[in-house]
Amino acid sequence: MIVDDSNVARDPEPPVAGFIRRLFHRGMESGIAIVVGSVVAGLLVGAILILWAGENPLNVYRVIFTESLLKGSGWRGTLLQATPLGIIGLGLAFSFRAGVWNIGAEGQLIVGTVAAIAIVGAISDLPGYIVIPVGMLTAMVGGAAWGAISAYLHVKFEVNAVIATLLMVFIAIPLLNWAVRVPFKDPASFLPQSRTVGNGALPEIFNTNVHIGVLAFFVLVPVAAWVMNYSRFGYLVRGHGANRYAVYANESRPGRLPFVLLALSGSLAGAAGFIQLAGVQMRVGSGTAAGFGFTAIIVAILGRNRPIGVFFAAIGLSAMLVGAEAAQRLLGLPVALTQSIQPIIVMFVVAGEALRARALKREGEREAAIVASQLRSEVQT
Amino acid sequence: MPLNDADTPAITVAGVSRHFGLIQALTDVSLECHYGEILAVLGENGAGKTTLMRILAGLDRASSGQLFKRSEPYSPHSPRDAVNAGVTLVQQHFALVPTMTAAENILLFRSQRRLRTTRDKAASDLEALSTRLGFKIDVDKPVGEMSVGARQRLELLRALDSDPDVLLLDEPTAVLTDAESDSLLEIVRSLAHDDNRSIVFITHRLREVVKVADRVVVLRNGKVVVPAAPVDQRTAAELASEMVGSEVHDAIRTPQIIGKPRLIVDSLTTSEVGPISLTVHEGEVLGIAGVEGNGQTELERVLIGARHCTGGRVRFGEIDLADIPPRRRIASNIAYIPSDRERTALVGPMRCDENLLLGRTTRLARRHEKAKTLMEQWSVLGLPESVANTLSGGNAQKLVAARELESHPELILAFQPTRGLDPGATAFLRQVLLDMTAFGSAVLWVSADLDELLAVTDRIVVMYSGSIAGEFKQPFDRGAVGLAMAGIA
Repeated sequence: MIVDDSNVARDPEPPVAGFIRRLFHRGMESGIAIVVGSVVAGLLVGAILILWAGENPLNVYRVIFTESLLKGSGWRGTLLQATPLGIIGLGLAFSFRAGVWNIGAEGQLIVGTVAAIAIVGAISDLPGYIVIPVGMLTAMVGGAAWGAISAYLHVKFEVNAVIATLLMVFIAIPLLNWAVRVPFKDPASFLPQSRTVGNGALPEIFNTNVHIGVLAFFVLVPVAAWVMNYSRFGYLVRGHGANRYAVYANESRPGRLPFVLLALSGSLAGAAGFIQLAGVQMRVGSGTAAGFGFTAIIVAILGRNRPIGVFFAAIGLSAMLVGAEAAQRLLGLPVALTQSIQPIIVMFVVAGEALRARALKREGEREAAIVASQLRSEVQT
Repeated sequence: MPLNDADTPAITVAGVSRHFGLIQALTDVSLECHYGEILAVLGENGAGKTTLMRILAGLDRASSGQLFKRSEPYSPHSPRDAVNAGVTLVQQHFALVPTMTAAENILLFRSQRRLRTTRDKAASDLEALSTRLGFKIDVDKPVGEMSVGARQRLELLRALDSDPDVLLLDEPTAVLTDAESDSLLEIVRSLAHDDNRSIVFITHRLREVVKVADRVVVLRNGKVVVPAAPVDQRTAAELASEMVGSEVHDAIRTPQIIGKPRLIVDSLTTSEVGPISLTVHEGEVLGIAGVEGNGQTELERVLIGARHCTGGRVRFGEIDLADIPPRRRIASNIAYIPSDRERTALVGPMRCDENLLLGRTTRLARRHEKAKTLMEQWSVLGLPESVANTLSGGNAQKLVAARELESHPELILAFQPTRGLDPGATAFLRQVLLDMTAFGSAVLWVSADLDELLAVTDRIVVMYSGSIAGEFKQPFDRGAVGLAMAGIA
């Protein structure tokens, strides 16, 4: 083995340990280590639960993995669920990164979807290239409008954003129930559900059984990542999250950005709602309020409010949802058990973030001291 | 009442060191403070004064070394331990609950638990104490509605509430004006000399050291450079050079050519202040003097468009400053150095180069090179990629100045630009602000430090209870300005 002796003289640790330490250090710095570590820790805790239920955890995890990602029906299902989760998650990532806690994506999705079917239901005979953009736009406007109501309450009356957004969900749900029973009910159906989207159905990507909404998600991720990291808007979002008062004093008036962000994340929730409607469900009904808006909160947190992170979190979480159902079907393991692993992972992430903040602070102090002493000696000489 | 024992020091620090990671904040610091004595601890920002105070007050632990309270070993694990041992700290940063009243805040630090009766008692105790010390304080007012000055007074009252025999003051006058700090110093003197308390007094206002302290310890880079020396054997100039390691020269205003009016505040009123009328001309420095809490903050908020006025106008050329959003203000080439800089000047967790973009139109991609040149030019000790939080107070303010003044602004709104900075950074800030007038900048300079305003301004306007109480031209009559600040004009 070739050993760099200058390194050995200073640093007696073996190269492998050094590599692991540097890897750990890099991981901590970017925060990825927290998520990876939390997933591992969550799976370990989950293993205990599975053992308790009398199953072999390795076997269960193998089934979840193969059924959700490897088998044809599995990865299709995973992608189809990851798409709405991820699109909502991207919007929430911007909102959360700015410190604006939009917990009401579920309501924004519902209202967007209802708005879309109101229009699409009436024009479903027109060609798809008209119906789909119109439906998409309507859903986005509807979601944005619902978000904007929360924003108005939050900005104008200083209602806590969590409350202003969450409570609007519980107005959206009865609105949905009413919409599918009274104004937009399919007269031909006995169930409380709307007409189908007709020509508004999203086309498949070739013959994969996967609709083009999935493609939209894949395109949106790098766009969002660029906006977050390299655009002025992303800069303001990050600045607002770190110290909103400095943004208010130097950039825009108080409330402007929270308003924009709640409307933006609302419009993405609406878009996800339309993709789910026109790509999977075809009708608005009880399945419209499927909880994507709430699960997407976990996606954003697991993705640490970074678009790339949201992408992997959406795929991973969706795979767990699909795999959990497979485990129930094949092994008789209740979905509730395997699903409880998600919130456990989230708790590890939250705890890990707190530890990281502390470590970074210590690190920052140390670096600042080194830099200051170097610069000082430069200035003196 | 504390025991009188002239030979035993009230508090002794023996060889205390403290390091944070690689930062050596204190190295082998020893000092002692006797009963009935005021010991000043003098040093620049980052000299380790605050760390020392925090260790004495139980907020931090020494890495090595020992503390003694009346020759008994003393090692407080919490502020409560320290208070029980008779040591209390008045902190530089406020530690009050804004939604609670003054009395409730006092109560928070008492050990009794029954709220109703004890609150009334706390209120009456507080009133009695403040009357004795010559302060006026509204005990039933929520702290959040009080001025900064009033909060500082309340901090002192709270520290005195437990009747400590050792009182630690961490820059108690940092936010007070001349008259206020004089009366505070008078009280501090009487607390030591009449009540026989032992007072450790941190400051970098030399005037105060000379005025009130019995002995002085000078710290530099965490080391004692002057062990407790009687103050009357030293001049302010000597102390200043010992503190910073070299002579400090204050920027002194030389007369400039003064041009056309730039900023015209025309009978401005809000629900709380007014009417205020003033004009700042091209190339002129107009100082606004006044005791903190006399409407300066309201004026600041109106000038930056954060508060609507009920009457009057704030004219800058064609635009009304009270009506425009921050980005328009910056686009109109108006610089703003805020008084509440920790909250509004910088985004602490962001990098220095990103902070230099705040409100500017520089492209994000160019931030690093831009920051590198700017930070060198303005001698900010730090790297473009280091996080703004890690800068010392003086360097952070230099970073703000670099961002705001780089474009040679037409108007500079400077609110307490040097408050709490060490002498080196203070001199730097004063000089760059004055240099700006050579480019024709009009400078509005609000300060609670009258000495500063007398040194740097062309004209001084005094604010008292929300309106203009007087206007003074060079040569200034210090006494007359002081009287106007006290509301006697």
